[in-house]
Amino acid sequence: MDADQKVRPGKRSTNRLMRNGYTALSRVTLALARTGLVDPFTSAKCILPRRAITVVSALQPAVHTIRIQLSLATAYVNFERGAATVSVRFFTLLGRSVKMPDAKTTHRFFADAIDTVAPQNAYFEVPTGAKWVSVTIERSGARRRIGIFGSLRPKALEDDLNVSFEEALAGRDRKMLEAHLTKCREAQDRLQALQILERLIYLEKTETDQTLHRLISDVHETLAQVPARMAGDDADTIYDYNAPLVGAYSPKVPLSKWLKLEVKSLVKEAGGRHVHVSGSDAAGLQLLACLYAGLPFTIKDCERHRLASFHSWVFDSDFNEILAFNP
Amino acid sequence: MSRERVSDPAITDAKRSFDEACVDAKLSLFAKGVDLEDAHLLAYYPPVHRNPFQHMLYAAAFEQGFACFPVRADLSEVGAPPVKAPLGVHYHWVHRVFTGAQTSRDAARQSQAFIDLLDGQKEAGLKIAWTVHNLLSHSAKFVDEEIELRANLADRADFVHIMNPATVELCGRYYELNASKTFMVPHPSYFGVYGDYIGAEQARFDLGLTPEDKTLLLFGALGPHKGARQFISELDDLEKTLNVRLRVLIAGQPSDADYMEEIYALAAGKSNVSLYERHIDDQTVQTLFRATDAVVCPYETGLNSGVAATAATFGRPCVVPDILVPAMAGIGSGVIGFNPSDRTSLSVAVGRALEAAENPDTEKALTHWAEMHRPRAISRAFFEALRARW
Repeated sequence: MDADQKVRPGKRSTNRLMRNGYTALSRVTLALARTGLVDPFTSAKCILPRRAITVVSALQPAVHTIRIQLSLATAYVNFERGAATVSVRFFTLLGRSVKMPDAKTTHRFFADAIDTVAPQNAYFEVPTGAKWVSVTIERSGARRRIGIFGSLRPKALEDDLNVSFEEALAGRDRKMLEAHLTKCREAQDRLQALQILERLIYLEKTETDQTLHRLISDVHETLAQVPARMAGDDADTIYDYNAPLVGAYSPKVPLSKWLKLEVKSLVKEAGGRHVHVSGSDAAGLQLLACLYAGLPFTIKDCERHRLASFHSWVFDSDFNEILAFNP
Repeated sequence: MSRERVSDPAITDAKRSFDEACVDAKLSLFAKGVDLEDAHLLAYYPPVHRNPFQHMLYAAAFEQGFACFPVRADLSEVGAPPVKAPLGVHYHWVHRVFTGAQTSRDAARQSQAFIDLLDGQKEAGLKIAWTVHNLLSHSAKFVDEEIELRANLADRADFVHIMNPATVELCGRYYELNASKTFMVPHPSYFGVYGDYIGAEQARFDLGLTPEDKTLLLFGALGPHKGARQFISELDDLEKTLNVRLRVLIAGQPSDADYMEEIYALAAGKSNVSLYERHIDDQTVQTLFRATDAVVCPYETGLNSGVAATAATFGRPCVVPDILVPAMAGIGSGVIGFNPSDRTSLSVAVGRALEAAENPDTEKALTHWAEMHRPRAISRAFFEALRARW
């Protein structure tokens, strides 16, 4: 191939985007966009420029979360993960930068294959005192040509997140998925909650989602394997088990790990005695420890309806099952 | 295969909460045969990955009934442990507290927030340990605030680990260390830490050095505190004084762009100076040290030196500021001190180091010291001392 025949990197994909209605921004639009005051993507389908574009917008009063909605396209046959990154910075009225600790400030968008482009939402929490937001978008790879349509100005949150579970699971909208996660908890359905989290992890790989998935999954496995209750008379030698031995349970610790430690302490303390389980907030946990320790026990002074109160993903139905299974 | 880091934080920092780390620690110690009541937990901050010091210091923790784990990001999550256990927090390079501070006021505010956290930890019954690595951080930007921070930490610490017997006296210039809280456990050698399987001849050949070249190595982060700039500018005089043509290898990660410009300008005119301005991976360290006759630490000040310990590990004599010599007790004539305010003493020390390099007993003595100070042995001594004071 001689020099004249060489195709510039990205040229072919640019052509394909152009054939599908995406146009390069004019010099004037680009110059206006560089002021940070003009959103260049709202009027038509464009090709995302090489240099980052920033748009500054005023925030609505008392807004807690903002939404940026964009549609991105790639000329490739398959979608591209993280093809463009949107980042936000918040400012007070006088222009001082404000941050919310641990809050997400960047979101990586997928670029869809041209025939399947769909709008995607990114959500950002607004720190207290913020009056302005600057939203920046940039391509993740210099060679990639990305088509874009949408706006870098924040939109109001959608009121209706009421799509079906299957729809939410097939989509890429965090708020819709989170709404279903809340419903799963209300419906005491860990398996569906895990499906939601798996989708979120696939989409965004956030540590918070991974941790919650790990904790719920651990609860589910731990409760699915509860050993049968040891038979035993309410003997003379009693061990009064009125509080966890290793300390107050932290829901940040996987249940199985915490139980392992509690079981070791319980076996040591109770020896071969018959255990009387009493207590309030952690009675369910103590009951599980007795079962896992293989110690005969009697439930004393426990409110049945509070057995599950030690963990937000352990439910009354679990104990109904455990106690019915191990009467 | 070369590795970029001593350990990859993405792998070694388990993604778990502080609470989970405490439970894991107790379970792991129990599995090791430690009684649950005797299982000691030690969280450390800040975790540092490119420098293997923490891994070396904690190498024998489990043998001694301690489980050590990094505080990953948020120091405020370190409070009372969720499980009944003796828990301590071990602080290292505390100038990290000033990260992101732009002004002295920011620095003072961040320092106060850190001290408040310490107070909270003490109130929760946690023990506070501190290893004094330096008098002040090498690149201290907020000197007054850092002195204040260190004074407050020294006041609140239950145990202060020192690696140089003169630490209390030397720190006394800036802040007071209560001698009754201190315990001395020396800096470990790097025995078994870095790759060490190639010979001096191969290393010199790889670097394009002839067997006759008298070679000096300046190793470690390249910043104003390390004295490389002054050393290069004095190199001609040094060669004249010693009447020898020297080859100088300077290797390490640049830490200051302006400073590096000066280094580039100085080194540009010296064909006998080779600059490797990058992080040196664990497998390449051996090439530099094995190829070298002597290592020079031309620092203005210091308290401990990992570079001197690395030099000893590879059997190479090392020139260090006088105040570092007591930190290398028992090493013999392989560590030669100089007075940083008397530059002629540096020439004398380099001359002695080159002489020592020609004596086969030097390498033997240094490697013997390194073996005696291997990480596991030093770690054992550290935890024995800590446990005795807990």
